[in-house]
Amino acid sequence: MIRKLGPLSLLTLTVCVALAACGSNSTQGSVTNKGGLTGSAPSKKAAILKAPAHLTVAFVGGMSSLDPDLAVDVQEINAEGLIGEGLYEFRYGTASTPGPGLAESASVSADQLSWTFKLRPHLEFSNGAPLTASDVAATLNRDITNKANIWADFTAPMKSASAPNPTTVVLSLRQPYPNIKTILAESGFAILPASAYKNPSSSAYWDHPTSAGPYEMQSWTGGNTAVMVANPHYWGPKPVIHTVTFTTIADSSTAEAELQTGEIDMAEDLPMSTEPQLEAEKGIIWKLQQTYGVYGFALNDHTAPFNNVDVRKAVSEALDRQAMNNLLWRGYAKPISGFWPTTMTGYDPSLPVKQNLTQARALLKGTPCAHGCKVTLTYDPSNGPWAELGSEVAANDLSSIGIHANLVGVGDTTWNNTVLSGTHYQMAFTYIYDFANIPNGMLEYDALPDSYFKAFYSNWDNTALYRLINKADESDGAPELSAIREVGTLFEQDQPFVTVATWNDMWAQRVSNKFIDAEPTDQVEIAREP
Amino acid sequence: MNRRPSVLAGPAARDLARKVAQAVSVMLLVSITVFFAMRLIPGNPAKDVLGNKATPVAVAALDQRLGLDRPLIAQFWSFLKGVPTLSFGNSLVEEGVSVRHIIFDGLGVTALVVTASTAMSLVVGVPLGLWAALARRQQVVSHSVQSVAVVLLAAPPFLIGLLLIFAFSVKLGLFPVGGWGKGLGSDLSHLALPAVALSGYLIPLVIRTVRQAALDASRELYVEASIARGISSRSIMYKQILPNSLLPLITLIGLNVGTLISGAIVIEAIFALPGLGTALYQAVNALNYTVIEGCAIIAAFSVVIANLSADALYILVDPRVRRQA
Amino acid sequence: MMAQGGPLEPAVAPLMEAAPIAVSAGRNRVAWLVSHRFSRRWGASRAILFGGGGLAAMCLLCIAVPLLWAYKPDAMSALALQGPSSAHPFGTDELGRDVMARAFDAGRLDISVALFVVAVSSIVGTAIGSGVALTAQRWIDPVVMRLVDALIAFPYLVILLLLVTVIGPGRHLGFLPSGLPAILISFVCLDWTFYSRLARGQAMSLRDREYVLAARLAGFSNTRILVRHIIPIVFRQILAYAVLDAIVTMGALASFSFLGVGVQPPTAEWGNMMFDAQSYISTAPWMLIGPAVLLAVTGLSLSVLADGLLAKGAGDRR
Repeated sequence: MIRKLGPLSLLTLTVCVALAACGSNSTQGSVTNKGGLTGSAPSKKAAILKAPAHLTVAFVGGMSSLDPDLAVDVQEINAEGLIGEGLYEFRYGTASTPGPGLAESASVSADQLSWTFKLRPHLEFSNGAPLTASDVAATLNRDITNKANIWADFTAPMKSASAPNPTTVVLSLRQPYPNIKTILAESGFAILPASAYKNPSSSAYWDHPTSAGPYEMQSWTGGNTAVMVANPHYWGPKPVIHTVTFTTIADSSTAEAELQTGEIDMAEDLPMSTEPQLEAEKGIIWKLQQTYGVYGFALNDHTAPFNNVDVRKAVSEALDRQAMNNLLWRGYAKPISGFWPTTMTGYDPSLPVKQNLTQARALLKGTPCAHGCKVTLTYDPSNGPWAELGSEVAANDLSSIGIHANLVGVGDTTWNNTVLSGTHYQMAFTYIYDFANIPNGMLEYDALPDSYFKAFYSNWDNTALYRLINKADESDGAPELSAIREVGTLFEQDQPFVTVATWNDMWAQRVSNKFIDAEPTDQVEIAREP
Repeated sequence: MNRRPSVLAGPAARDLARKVAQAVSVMLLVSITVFFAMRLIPGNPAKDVLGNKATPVAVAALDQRLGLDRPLIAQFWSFLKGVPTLSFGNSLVEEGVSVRHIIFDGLGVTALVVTASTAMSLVVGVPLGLWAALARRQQVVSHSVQSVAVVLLAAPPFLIGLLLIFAFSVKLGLFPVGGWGKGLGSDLSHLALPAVALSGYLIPLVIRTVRQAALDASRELYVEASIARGISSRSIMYKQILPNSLLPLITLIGLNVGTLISGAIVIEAIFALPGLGTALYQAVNALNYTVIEGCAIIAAFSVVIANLSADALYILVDPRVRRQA
Repeated sequence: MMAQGGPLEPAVAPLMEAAPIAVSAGRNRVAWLVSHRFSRRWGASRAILFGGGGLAAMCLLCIAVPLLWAYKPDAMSALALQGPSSAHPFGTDELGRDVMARAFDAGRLDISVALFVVAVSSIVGTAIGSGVALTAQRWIDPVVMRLVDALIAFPYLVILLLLVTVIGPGRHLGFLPSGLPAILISFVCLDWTFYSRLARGQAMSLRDREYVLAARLAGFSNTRILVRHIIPIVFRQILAYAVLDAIVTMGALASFSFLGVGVQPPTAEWGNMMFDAQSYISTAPWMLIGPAVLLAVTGLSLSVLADGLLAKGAGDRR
């Protein structure tokens, strides 16, 4: 009898608990952005309104190298941005328009193939050593010749740099480079002492590089925490925050908890599912920063069924981008369907983003998928919760037109061997990114089969693009714009891959954004003292 | 007065020596299996480390630096050499970080969770088991306690863990949702829920074992004789019944260390603890051969050592075993 | 997934010793009977009834609800993250799917996988274990048992993780959802070891019984003795442990999906659902409670059933 009652009463208890839990009917979950906002309500104030002496920022991924040529992950770029300085730089409040950095002025030759930069007087590195033109030339030459340089696509038009006198640097080019100032402001072109390159294989140097930016690296031992302090030898205005600590917190609920308790002041890439709590918490402001990149579905144009352009277009028509926006980003993202994201020149707002199932089905007629087909949809769950969610929504959308998608979540290993190499996959949900509004850069990365992102891993190979990319590289103003627009048109024609939304990154902070703010470059910028 | 037979001379010691030899052969088998199993996983670790910076030149260079281009036997031999001293080289993914460093960092956390949950299981399970065996209204109590055991057995540790998070972290805010603290004080508050979740699996086993052992002990002749001689029941309880009830626990815990470690891996995932399980899981994802090898070997080591210790402790503690021919 | 010393081992030892002891020591036999004043067998039948009934009811619901309910498990038809309502008794999840339909659909997968794994492992393990006990070849026993010990000694999750990674979590086979083939193969490869150890023990105690010796004398082959006499008895005795194993296997399957190496989304599976629910635990707790309750109830039924079988088995052995 007792034996019977025991489990039964415990069962009843469980059900009661369940009902009690369900009784807490929360409608917070259903709020989605209907007002076109990009972050917290404008009236919300951060907890800390005066610039603190010390600030901690938490990132999701860690740092492996501070070598400017290798730093590419978010935390690395941010650290490099704080401690490094190039001939030009991005500053707080100027978004991604570069301002003069180490270079005081610049002039270009008539044939556009030679740039002359005049350095400011009395420049110093963080260790007090003088910074001269020979350091700049050595750095630039290394960037140009280094085979492992991530920024190789950007150094391709450069020939070599020289230092005719201690304050003048001459950079010779293979072809005109109108965007060169933006490029030189990127973290990959931070200037380091010429002596750094004497011992290139010593990786320990890169843990503690001597730099020339507003901050210097005080301590980093290759682990999760890096402490940067204001550089006393910096030529320019001092930053309003003296010490900045970067830390890595892989688990989002830990990061969110620490942000609420004040253990950290700012957190990068919190999942959008935390938005209701962040809004409810007084003193935390957040925003979904639109950046220079694209979320999309990579399609393998070399294998069935996506070697058929109508099938690819059908996929684009069948996707419900607005539903995806609501479910993945609570309505705060910007849906797109063309090649260019909303943040870059070339974006065409007239392109439709609404789901059009009728058109999708019509496109499938006469293709191998006319009566249904199966595809494998790959995604990497470690990219973020959006990867799995977006894949599920897409699978649902595609099933409405008869394409059955089999979802496979893979780890980095398989991802690198399949999608990243453009082989052995059919369809994948992923993203690509860039760090400035440099359309020809995006083209270099994303529109050619041999480029860094291999045309969004699709093997897109349209020979007309080579001509257009050259034109965009070398020209400025109207001719560049027309080349960029033509690329968009070619994209719509070929539909080599399917874009979904502008790439974004979520930043939440308890300090006012008046002195630290995330920019579309996906870097934090810190205000300077007047 | 007979002299106590020496532990070292008896047949029990020979038995133990045999078990040690068995353990060594098991470890060898495990090492071989782990090493070759990992080489079966498709992919190239150098390529993964470099990720989207992987050009063929860079991959080849890294391969050479990591020693991955050597013949398989050479790699195996250098791996095997390192096993006895627990030196597995450096992590393939993080430059300059030794595997031993990663393992011991993680081992501390995992060991703490396993130890805490074992302690908790004993603290809860032993009294309940004794109560179920010896209480005056034995049937009623026994059935209730066994019902509790039945319920606890029904839920896997990760379910208990998630429900605990929901009840105590989210709703009541008593404990942190996850992660690990800095310094001992906050470590304890981060440890509480994971330890409770993992103990849910062990408590029913402890209850069952203790109850059965106590029942058996209470029916032994010497207990009846003691009652007849008028020795107080408290004395009987603490001197005769309790020690005999606790003995099987040694074997139980020794045998369950492996399962506890497995449970700890899932618990670490739920509570985002920086333990051995998390390290292993991340290493598997990144094809970090050296770390995988290290974690697997350490896990095997722990289980083997726990079993051996349980056996040895049993021999030390129970005189009857020593005297067995 | 009975790991060593799981719910089986410590319970086995005293129970298996109890049998010969009860037979040999008259006094203890009386004590045994006396301490179980309520007929164990009577209480046991009730437990079996309730446990078995609960399990059967759950199975029925898991088949019926996804078929008959207004909302299908995969349909993203409703508003996301809605609390429980009359339309959606368990609420909706982050993609607007009905949690109740999904939870029962997941139950179908979890329960059938657990039962399948346990059935295959127990049959294979019993056959191997009994065979090892009865074989005339002296060398088979130590070799096989050494292998079994080695496999059992290892934390099973570590081996499974490696196995699943080697096989490839993305594989799908026919109607089996992706991730499942790897799981099935890995689980079965590991689980049989425990049954074999149990079966070997049981078979060894049986092989010296009179009817076995008689059968040998009569000239029956080992295989025939095994199949006809030993295995059915052994199997009946480990049935209770198989049921307990089903619980552990269900838990392991859910844990694996939780870790991401099990069944892939969007296939509904309790572990998957609870993993997704964790991100919304403060804003949408019903996402966790739905599958949690079902898993708990199923586990409870199995546990009660196993308890009853154990008690019945102990009563039978007199």
